[in-house]
Amino acid sequence: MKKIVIALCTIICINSSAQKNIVLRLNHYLNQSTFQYNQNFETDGIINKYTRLQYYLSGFELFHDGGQMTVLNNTYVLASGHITNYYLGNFPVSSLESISFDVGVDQIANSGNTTNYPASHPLGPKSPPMDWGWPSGYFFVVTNGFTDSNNDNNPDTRFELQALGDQMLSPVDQINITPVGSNDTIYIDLKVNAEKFLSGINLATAGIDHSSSTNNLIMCNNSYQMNVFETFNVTSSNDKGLTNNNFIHIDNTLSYAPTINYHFENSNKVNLKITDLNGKIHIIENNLQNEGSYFPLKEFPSGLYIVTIENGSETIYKKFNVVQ
Amino acid sequence: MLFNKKVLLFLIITFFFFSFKNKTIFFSVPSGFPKLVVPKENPITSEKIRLGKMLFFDKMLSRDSSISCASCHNPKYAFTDQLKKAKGIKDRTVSRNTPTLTNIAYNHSFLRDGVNPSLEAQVIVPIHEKNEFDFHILLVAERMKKNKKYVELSKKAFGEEPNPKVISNAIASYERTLISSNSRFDQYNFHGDSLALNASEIRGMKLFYNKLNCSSCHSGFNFSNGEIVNTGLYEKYNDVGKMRVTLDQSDNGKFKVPTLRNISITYPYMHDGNIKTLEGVIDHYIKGGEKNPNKDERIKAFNLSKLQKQDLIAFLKCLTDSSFIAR
Repeated sequence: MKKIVIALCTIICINSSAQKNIVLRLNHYLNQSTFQYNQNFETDGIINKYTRLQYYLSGFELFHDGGQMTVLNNTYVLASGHITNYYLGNFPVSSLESISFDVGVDQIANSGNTTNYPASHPLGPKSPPMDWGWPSGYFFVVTNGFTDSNNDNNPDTRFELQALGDQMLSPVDQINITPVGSNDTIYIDLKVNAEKFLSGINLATAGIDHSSSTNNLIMCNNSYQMNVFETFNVTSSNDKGLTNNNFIHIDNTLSYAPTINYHFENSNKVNLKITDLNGKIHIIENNLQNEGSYFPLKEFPSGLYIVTIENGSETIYKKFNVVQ
Repeated sequence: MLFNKKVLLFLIITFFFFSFKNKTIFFSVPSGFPKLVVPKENPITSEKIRLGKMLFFDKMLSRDSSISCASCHNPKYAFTDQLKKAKGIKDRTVSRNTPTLTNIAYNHSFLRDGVNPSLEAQVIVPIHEKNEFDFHILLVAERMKKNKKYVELSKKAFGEEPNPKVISNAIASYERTLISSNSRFDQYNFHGDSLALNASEIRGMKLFYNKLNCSSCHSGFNFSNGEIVNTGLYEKYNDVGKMRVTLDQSDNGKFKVPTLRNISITYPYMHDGNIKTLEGVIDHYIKGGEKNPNKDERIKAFNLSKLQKQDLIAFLKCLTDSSFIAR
């Protein structure tokens, strides 16, 4: 009898601490509307638009199962405005209560070499690069876009803020979460108020700034000072006000090798095709995730191309230009 | 006993054979040089050196395949280009003068302003820099994958197909072999050849080490203390040097103290190549440089006779290692 009780307890214990996949969902918004590139939004009463939004998250701490804490060492997320889902790993967690993290990467990783990681790793070589080769450090937050500098409601003055340096690491305190789960996966939903990264910065004069400048420090510190990251009730995620937010955005930072950012609301896998204007197929990639950044590992001659992405029920396409 | 000696000898030879079989290269440190410290993540092997050398001289690292590392770091000129400022693809002008790679393995910081932490990390800089190769390391790896020789060498050296790590570690390994230790100064100072320097050169050496104390910065076996300093080249620097990264005004105009080895063939001088001759450089220091709040306190005006100047230049010229530039 005693043995049976022990066995039952053991089974209960094993079940209660079963391993679960933890997925972080960063729901990016701009003034309460779903994030899109080249979409006007307001920060501090000024109209802006993003052409690029990327940032690193690290130093994750999960608070779960009645006060337990699990530190996620060596877990890095390279977040982009158009990507919601980020797999954090498999952990012995049953019930999640809150999460904390840092915006940026820790000092050890920041002093490392990007080529030590494969391209698929968040810290590996990226296109456009997320590291500045000169001092060999990562850009903690990258916001590129345009601002309205002359009050004509047209954001046409370029800004390019790319924060660099250990001092930019910005801790985001515990955020309570309402996890959504299945048998083997827990989703952590956070709302990202992307417009708030730019609060308190004079974008009209910011220019191209890849450094540890005051503007870049403000941008990183806004992560916690302006509550860029907030708790998010998944019920309200269905009230985004948009029924179709599927898009392709071409990042032309490298004129000779554009990066294709895409997002489909539906989680079906997608197929990607790149053709030239004569219909010649240059690239076909099948079964890609429903959102991502695709950097073609191919050199295209100068010219116009069309990228087509379809998920079985919808097809979207976009032209892009390559300048060698 | 004789048998035991033979066995011992055989065992020693076998040990070294297998050491080399395991591909780890053991450098013999030149006389007067300290032990070479190689990152444990990237031990030097003969295969890596071979691959790194091939990449170093291969123009496919640049976007339009017009220039290689060796285009600016030309072995003939002690791995410089003798240009005021380096040239990138499509004749684009790089903002700085090309530094020599002489004994680069011993450096602790890289690039003209010393802001880069390792040879491995430095490799990506010219590849991505718009005014240099203007390319992407992932696309360099793709080009390598199309070349059977590169695929074969990558697998031999790293057990992997070409990728960014292969590129950076291989080139860094090759660059660590660029050791220059056979100048007439070395023969005189480290190899015990008292006739290697003439009277003028010896007088110049004494000026260098004693009266002028050039060796307070250009010190040690490699004629550099590795410090990042402002030499008062300008009152106002167009290129702010280390400050470009730190944004600290006190770093304005600070650049790394370069090695003086092979200095007679690495002209023009200074971070921007603005001084054409050694005479010009010495004149700059005789004057004590320009007024600048960050100027190093060791830069002070001094007097030098015409003969002393000739002696000093004669000494600097004997730091040339002809075997190094002939490689």
